[in-house]
Amino acid sequence: MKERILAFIENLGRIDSRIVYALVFLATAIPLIMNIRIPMPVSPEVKSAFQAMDRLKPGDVILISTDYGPSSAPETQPMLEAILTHAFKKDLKVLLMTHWRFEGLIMGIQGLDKIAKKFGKEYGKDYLVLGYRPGVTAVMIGMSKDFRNIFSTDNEGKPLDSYPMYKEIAGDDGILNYKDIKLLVGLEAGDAGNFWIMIVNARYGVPMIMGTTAVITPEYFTFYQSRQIEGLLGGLKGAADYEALLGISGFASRGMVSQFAVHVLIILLIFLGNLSDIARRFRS
Amino acid sequence: MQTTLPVLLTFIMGMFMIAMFFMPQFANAESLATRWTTIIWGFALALGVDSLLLNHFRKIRKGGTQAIHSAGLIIAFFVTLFWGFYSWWKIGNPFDARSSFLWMFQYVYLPLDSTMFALLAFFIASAAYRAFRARSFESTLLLIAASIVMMGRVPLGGVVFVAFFVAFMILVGVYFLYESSKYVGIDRFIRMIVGLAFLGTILPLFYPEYTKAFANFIPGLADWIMQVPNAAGQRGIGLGLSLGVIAFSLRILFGIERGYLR
Amino acid sequence: MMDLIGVWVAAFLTLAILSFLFGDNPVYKFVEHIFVGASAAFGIIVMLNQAVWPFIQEGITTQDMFLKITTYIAIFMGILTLFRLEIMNYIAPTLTWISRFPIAFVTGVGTGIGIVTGIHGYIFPQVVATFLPIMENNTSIIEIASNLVLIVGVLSSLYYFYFSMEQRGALRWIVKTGMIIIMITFGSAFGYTIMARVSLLIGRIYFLISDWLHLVR
Repeated sequence: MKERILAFIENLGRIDSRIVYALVFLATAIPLIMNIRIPMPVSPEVKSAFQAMDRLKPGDVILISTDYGPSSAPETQPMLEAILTHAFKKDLKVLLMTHWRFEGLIMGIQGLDKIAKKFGKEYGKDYLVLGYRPGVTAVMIGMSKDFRNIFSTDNEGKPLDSYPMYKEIAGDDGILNYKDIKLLVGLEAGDAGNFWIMIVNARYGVPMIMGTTAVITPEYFTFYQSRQIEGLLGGLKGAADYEALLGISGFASRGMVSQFAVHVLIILLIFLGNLSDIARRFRS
Repeated sequence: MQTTLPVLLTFIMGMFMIAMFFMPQFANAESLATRWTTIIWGFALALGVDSLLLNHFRKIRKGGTQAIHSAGLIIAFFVTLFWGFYSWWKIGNPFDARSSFLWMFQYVYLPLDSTMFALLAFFIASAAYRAFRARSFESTLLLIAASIVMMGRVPLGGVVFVAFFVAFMILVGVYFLYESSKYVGIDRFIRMIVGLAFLGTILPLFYPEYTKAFANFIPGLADWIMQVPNAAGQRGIGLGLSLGVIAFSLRILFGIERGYLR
Repeated sequence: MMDLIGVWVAAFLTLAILSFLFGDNPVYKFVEHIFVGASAAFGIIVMLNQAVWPFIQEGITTQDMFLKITTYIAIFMGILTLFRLEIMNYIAPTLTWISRFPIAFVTGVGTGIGIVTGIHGYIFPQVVATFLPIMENNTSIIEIASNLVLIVGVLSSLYYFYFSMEQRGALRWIVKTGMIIIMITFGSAFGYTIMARVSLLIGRIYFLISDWLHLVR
């Protein structure tokens, strides 16, 4: 009898991978179809990111850097949309750029167009798309004196100073540089975000918040602890928290239930695997 | 001559950029150097593509099923390239909203790129199930930290965690007590204490109000783990790493390390 | 209409990639190759359109003589990198070394920035943030404990990676502490990695059931 129980437990560790795949698929798809939302406690680092945005006054300029591609868009795109909703609600001026992966620009423009339309904001008046320039550190340092050193034109190929918004945001000296940026929002999927902190925050003192994919989020907690960044949105959970603080319900809040289901499934699987391992060692 | 001059150039440019850091009034010179870098980067992009294409042209010449795949790659490359140039010439910007090139991005490139990475969710689940074993003190610690973070970051995580917690703590506690018999001295004592500590943690859960507090405790604990031990560990790794990078950079500047000139 | 076709194309490609779960198959392989080809071309278009062309265009048309000359030099340096092309092995194999100049230039600029950035932007602020006051006027016990864990954690995990000395006696305990911290760090990194992959899957499945199958709004 005991032998049979142990054998059964041991077999729990030998489920076919295809069944595991099917379970993962179902755990993701069913909550999405059922469309449920369950509230959860907001992480402190997201709250302080929200407060950093909330402190800004109408007309203040934020620079959003969308340094990610389609492969991490499910995590970072909801952050972009939530932050843009917040920004346009508060009548902030938005600049968008990217310098890590070119796809980030397109993802950024898509998010920007979607949210700007919702709030009736106009291109060139309320927001500008600077474009994509490769070179990471080179771009950041090049922008320090004058953004036009790197972005002589905007994404549509027109000079930056030909837009009415430019004079408004460039400040008294008429030159747009880091001094005019009240908050930098880095949406990051790779190393590029480190350089925003290590160069632009360290040298030019621009306050910043970061929205990162979950893979690199643990690393960014060191920057949050050292107050080099004011807030941090980590992965889908960070986006969902920001949506909760804003009082909207977007893709992130919806996805969190699937996230919950798959996490439970994976922990259960690890548990079964270990149980079977122990049973195997008892038998031999 | 063929190596000395480039090494000298590296040294000069490196020292120039370091000097520029201390003279921010010359930011224009600094940004000029960085501008050059960007233009050179642009040309350098051709390098990877060239070897990719040549490699697949060779595979086509070899024939077989691989030739069909390679032909697909090369056709996809040139179709995309001409499509991009066409949109550029026609509309003035291939990434304009009216451009058909953007359609290609939206419906071909985007699903391929994101599904490639989504595939990993299946494999990570299957791999964790097969290989993640709490066989040593280290791996047990790793597993516990991972579980707390995973459950602390989702809705309802705390509730489910209570159930898991009870089962797991009993298991690990008993395991450590069992293992302690194999050791002597301080090592045995540590394992016994750890085992008893694991068992002791489930005692408060016999009171419902504690269980409720505990369910809310998990997200908080996940926050704490991320902000304190995780930040400490990441910082330790990061400091070690950046010291290493700086040492390596100095080796490059002084011409000791020349691998990049190969 | 184009959007409808697009959604079906995207759904087909998504399913083709997912078919890899049932083993390597020709459909997956073909789609994978198309992806590599398309993304290489995509990268070229973007690089030319977004980076090289704007700089060159501005540098050539500008009135500023200095900027104009330096732009020509930069383009010249860029062209020199092409001596590294694999095709050059057939045309002029002895001239590959010319491409070392632009590479040396880029490397020099990069390492120069890297050294000052690493020290000024990472090491200094991170070290300063580690040596924080453990106890102030109204610090709670949890905060004191957290501060202690942080300080001890950073120092011991840094020491854990210090291999140049034999680790005996009291040093062994520092290494053990460091190992505990590192294991917790790896554990949380693992948890977050799972989180990330699952989020991406959610994104793809959401596309399939909403944009393609219209099961949900």
